[in-house]
Amino acid sequence: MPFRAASRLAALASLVFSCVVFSTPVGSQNQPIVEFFSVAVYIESGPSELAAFQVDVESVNGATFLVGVEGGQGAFSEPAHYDPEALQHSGRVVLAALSLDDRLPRGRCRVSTLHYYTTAPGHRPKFRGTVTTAVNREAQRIGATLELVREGDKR
Amino acid sequence: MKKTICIVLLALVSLTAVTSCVSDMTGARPNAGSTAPAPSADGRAAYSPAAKHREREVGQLLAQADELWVLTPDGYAALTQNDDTHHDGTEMPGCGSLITKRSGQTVPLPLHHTAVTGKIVLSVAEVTVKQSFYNPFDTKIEAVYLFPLPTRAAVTDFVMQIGERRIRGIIRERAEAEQIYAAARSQGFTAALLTQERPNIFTQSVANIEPGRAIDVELTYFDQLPYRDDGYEFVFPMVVGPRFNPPGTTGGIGAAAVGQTTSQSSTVNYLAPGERSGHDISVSLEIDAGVPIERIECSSHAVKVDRSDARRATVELSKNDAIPNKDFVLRIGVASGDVKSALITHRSADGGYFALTLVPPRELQSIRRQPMEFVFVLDCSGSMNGVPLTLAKNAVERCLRRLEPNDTFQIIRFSANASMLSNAPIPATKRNVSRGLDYLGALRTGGGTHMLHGVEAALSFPADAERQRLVTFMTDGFIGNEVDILAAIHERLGDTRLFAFGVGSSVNRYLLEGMARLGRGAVAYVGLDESAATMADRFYERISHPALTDIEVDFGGMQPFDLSSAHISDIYVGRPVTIVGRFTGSEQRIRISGTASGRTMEQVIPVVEAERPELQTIWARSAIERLSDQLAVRPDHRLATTIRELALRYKLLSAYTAFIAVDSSRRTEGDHGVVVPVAVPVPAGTRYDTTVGGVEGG
Repeated sequence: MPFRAASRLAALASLVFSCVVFSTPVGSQNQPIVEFFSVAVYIESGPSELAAFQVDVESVNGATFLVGVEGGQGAFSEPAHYDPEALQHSGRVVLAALSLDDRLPRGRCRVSTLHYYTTAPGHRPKFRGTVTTAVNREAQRIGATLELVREGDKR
Repeated sequence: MKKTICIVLLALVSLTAVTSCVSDMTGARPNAGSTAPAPSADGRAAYSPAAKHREREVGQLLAQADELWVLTPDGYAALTQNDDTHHDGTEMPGCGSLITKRSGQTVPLPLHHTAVTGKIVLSVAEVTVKQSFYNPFDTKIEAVYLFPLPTRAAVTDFVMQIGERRIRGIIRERAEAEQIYAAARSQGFTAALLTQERPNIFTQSVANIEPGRAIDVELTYFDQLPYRDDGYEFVFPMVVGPRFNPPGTTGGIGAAAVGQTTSQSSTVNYLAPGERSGHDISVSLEIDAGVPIERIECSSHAVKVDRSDARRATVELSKNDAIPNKDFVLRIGVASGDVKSALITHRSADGGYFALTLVPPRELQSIRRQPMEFVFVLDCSGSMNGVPLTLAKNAVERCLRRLEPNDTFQIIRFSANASMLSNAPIPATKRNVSRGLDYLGALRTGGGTHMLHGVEAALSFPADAERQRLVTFMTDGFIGNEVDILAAIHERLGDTRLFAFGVGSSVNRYLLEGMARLGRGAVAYVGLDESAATMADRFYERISHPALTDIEVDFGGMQPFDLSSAHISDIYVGRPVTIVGRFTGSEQRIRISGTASGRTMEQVIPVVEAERPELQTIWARSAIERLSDQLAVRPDHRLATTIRELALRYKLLSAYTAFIAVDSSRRTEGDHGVVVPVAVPVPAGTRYDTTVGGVEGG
């Protein structure tokens, strides 16, 4: 395709792009921020070493918004990365992290702490989450479960 | 590598649910509730009127809690001794030590160190900037720091560190992020907010830093390095130069003395001569050029270079040159024969991205240019006083002496107004050149930077049908109304080509590069320690040969879209251009064609498939730049919406997005403290009295 034609197409595409109605971003602009709180994310990997994971956390009853992703314990002290598109369009927090540490955790490990705020007075936020993937040092999938604990409820 | 793998994991791992859980988050939370103090009306921990009054009285920064801040070199003898002397022996602008003296103790202000670490692979730099804040006072503070980054930096990550705990910031719409920050600050939570004021100026705010506590913030950006004159150029700006804002402007970047404010939306506080902050900077770079490195040059700073092999090196800024008052400029020279035109592609889950680099054909160097009309425009405002104006004059003089008999020329100066050598461009006869040199020699600085007058004077007179007009703009770019200038250039350019020359140690590269981009020319810089004659010679060599124009690209089986540029700009000798875009389809080779002085030139270049995920970020940043250019000349809220959506999707800082990080796990005690702006030195070579301290402005 000649560049000039491509340029015209690009200009057209750009115009179309600029006219696309994006899905409404998930945010709370102009609503009062009532409270900040944090939620610890634990993964239980049993006897297997946990080297990498991807988890999906979402609010069940809304009105909560993410304001920080903190690192967890030991090998996962570096904060996990989050998927901005999932956060923007659905409010879901999709986290992924990988550790090359010599000492990988087994059993129950806090892999992250999520910092949120809520706009609803008296709101009792509920969350659900899944471990979508967990792998060991050899990149083999391992069984793992997820636990979400709000600060103050920690065991 | 870790991050890359992580992103790949995020993107590619199939969503296989192993287990799910639902938790009822009902636990009581200490410190939560309705007792938190409400934020102030403007959401800022501003000084009280009484404090403002006292501040005026002493003319210094005065905090709320009955503490008197003074500027004094006491106790800093070791720091200040001989420190006002540059490594080349010239006197540096005073950087002093901004300290507060309480009960005979001296302590530095909140920002004490900036660490810059980067990896440069081929032509892309991934850089992490760590700003270390510390509260030396016995009351809580909020630190606010206006700082520069490279103009095309794509800021993609932000981490706040409190002790060993690291919290990754979240990209949000700017207004929402500012609202979150204000709420967190008023409720006593430690929080950090990163916003963009210009593509090259950012504000870092850190709230609720408790006495004696340290908080680090890290930001990471990608930067596509330009290839200029036989080398890639890595630039890290260290200080924002004092901007001049024309009367009536409120959205500019104000320049004020310590403890003062301006009517602009952002203000930089500058240390007066003799004052020095305890803030220093380190720079550490790893380079893998991909091809043999011929030389590594840093004209701005003293550096230590270690070469591990022909194509790799490490570069460290000398600890003796760690005052952040000028751009760090590193040139990585590679043989021009090693830089070839290429189309590099990367495929991701959401489609293909490419970077097309076009190197000017060698044949251009054997063709001479046609007669031209040269218009030299010099910024003679107060900020150009001293070395900068001398450098600009030297460059113009060099060009004047190399004009050809059939050329014509004009010289225009501007500051508070604009004036010129003659009513119309004059032939480049010996006598006229001599007249031009006399005019040049008589130019003096003074007054504000009313650049619009210079643009109008340079682009408004009738075109010469027989000569291509070429305007060269020599300036430090210290203005706050950049958009007005870019819009004027777009409106008046016509067939003119505009070349922008940045002069000084901390040039406003956003303005200069925008001028060159919209002016369909090129940009070049000359630092205080560099030769203006060399820069002029390079410029003259570049325009001594015709540019490759009317460039067309036949992508074959590839269907490109969302290109970073609506058209490929003219290609000049020594200046390859790169455009990025997205694509579908596939192809092994593409065909480029263009014309130079009536001759058609063609080139076939290969398509290289590579694992270069950073191309997505670089494309998104380029798309935002293009949309911002359009927004500058055609205000349209839909463009702003598109920029915001792109930035959110690609997790990029922009004018419409911001990074926010809140530590919600612990509420600090007491009020949210006072705002402490981080004062900075004026750039090396810039006089405080003609910019910040005087009435003239930049």
